[in-house]
Amino acid sequence: MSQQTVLLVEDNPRDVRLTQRAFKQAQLTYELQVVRDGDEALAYLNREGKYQEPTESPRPNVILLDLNLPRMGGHEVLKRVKQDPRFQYIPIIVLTTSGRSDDVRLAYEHGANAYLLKPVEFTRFTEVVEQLGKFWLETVELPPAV
Amino acid sequence: MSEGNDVWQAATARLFGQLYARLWLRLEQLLGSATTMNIIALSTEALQDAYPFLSRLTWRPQGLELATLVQAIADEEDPHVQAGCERLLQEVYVLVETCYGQALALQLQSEIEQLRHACDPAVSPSTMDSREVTTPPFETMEQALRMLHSFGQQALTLYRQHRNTHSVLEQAQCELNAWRQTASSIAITSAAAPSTPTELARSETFYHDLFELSPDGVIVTDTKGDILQANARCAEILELDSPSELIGRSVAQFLVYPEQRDAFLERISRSDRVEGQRRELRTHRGRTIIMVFSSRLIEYEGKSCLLSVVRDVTERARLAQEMEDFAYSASHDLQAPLRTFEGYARWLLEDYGDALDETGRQLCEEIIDDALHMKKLLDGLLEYSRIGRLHTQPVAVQVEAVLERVQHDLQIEIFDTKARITLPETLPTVFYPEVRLTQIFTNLISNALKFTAPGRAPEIGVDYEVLPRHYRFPVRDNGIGIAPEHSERIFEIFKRLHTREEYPGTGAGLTIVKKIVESHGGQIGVSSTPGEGSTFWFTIPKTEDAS
Repeated sequence: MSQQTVLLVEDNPRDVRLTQRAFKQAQLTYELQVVRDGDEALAYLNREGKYQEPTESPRPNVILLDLNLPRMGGHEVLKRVKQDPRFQYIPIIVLTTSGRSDDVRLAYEHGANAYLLKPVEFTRFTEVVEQLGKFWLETVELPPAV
Repeated sequence: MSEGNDVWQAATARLFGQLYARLWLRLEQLLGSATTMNIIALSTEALQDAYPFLSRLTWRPQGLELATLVQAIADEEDPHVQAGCERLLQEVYVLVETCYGQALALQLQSEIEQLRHACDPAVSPSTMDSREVTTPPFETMEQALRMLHSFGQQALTLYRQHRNTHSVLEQAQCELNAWRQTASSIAITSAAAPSTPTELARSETFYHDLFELSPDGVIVTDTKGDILQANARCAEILELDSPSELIGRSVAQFLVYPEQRDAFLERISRSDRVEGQRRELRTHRGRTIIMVFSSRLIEYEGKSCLLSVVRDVTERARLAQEMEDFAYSASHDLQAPLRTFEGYARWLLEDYGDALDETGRQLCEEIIDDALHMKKLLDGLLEYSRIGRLHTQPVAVQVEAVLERVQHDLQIEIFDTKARITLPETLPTVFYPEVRLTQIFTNLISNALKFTAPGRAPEIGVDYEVLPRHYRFPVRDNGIGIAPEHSERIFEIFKRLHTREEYPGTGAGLTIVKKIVESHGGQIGVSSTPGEGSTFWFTIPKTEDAS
């Protein structure tokens, strides 16, 4: 089986570092691809610009999406990906600091597969990432990446 | 309620109503209507603030006697209530002083005499209107005060006459109904019987001015909700050019949720009055506005009608919403850097701990500690901003069930501290959002479990009292207590009286409780003896009116 890929959509470079470290500490050996905003996320999926090389930018098995993104917000990214017949099957997990009930409801309305809160405490964040990896990458059956 | 009590109620209401109406008229002559309206507004507030005090006063033997009133106010424990009483008393003095020496003093005094007369149920209604001047006018301030003093004693005598035949509670309610009449609504009913034609003209002009100049909408409808009378402000609120456009239309036309009307009519037919209601309206131009109103059943042109005073609070609601949104966003955005502080400091410790010396590692620990504490502060801020954001619906809640759950949730703390919690045999059912009531009790009881004196197991007592319009719940403890000079400060957000090492916490808890209590039409306070314990109390309106 080829290596699974996780696409992380996150604008804050420090959060990216912490997420990478959490993946490492949780011993999740998946390829973590990072894009910094909504436009980059769509370009990645559409294999546009610098994401043209399939070996360097493999199709993600799972997308981790922050909501608070510059320009095109997380909700819009979620909506567009879930409306695109080519990508709608990709599980999208919202990973955010917003516990706002409007955000939670809207995310599920747009087709999010799960909604997770980023804990402030790093050890707890690692636990969340670990559970996420165990479930979405090791437990459930996913459609093959196209 | 028996006949004697009805007479008492009517007489007292009449007495106070007419007395007030005369005083306002006099003030208007002296100061003009704008200033008078300000004073009426202040007086209404003072009466409301003094209300919990007055409700307890009726239980005391001294009744309404003015001199002992001063003493009783001095004895009052709750500073908020005390302040309200003092303002009320101050007003009485100011009014007497204003009237003293003026031509109207004579008339005023004779009217008070008549009113005293009218107040006696033994006197037949026909003699009430024989307006005889039986006592000389005020010569001095002392005389004026004596006048009021004897008036108080007259009321006291009446009170004693009836106390044997009726339950104390019923009497308290009757007396308070009289005290509580707001000046404006009393003025409308008592203006019906002025004594001379010039005064009739004067009082009609005055109440017409009052009606038209009012910064709030005033509206009279029949019992089906059809509009009979409305002032200019009412038309302005609803974005109509003239109040005449309102006459004959139904209030339901403007309600965003017309179905709320039936429940409202049902309730006012039961209780004669409904206060502090909040409604969304759609104006003539289709804009949605928020207003609060109070209504009461009155006689208008021989029919039973509804008099309502309406205040537009759209702007206030918008500002409050903006503040809460700001607090919410700020507390969220501040979390992002916190995650970095905490995460990186831990990273330093885990991967570079060996490269640091003991002080270096200690500094990392402290960054983590503070980041987590700040997270708790932000959670407090978030929670505080949520109280207004998330509208929780009031429901019928059994206080006993809430307290059982709170004790269950706090069972570890209760076990660890060996605390004993006592509840009264019965507890009422209140109309309140259940989650909010749980929050209030959880906060107060966990504080009582936390601020304990060394070597003394906490003893916590929850109780309740029935006030005329509220339930009052005291939560008593035997903890370290609070010095009187701090009794206000503890309700301010993030204000703490102890270091985090002495007693952990953020200082947001009581602020949240205060906001919950006040946003549901109640009050909160504390009385305490340092070293012996504290009693926190809060009130809940008996009906859903204030929620």
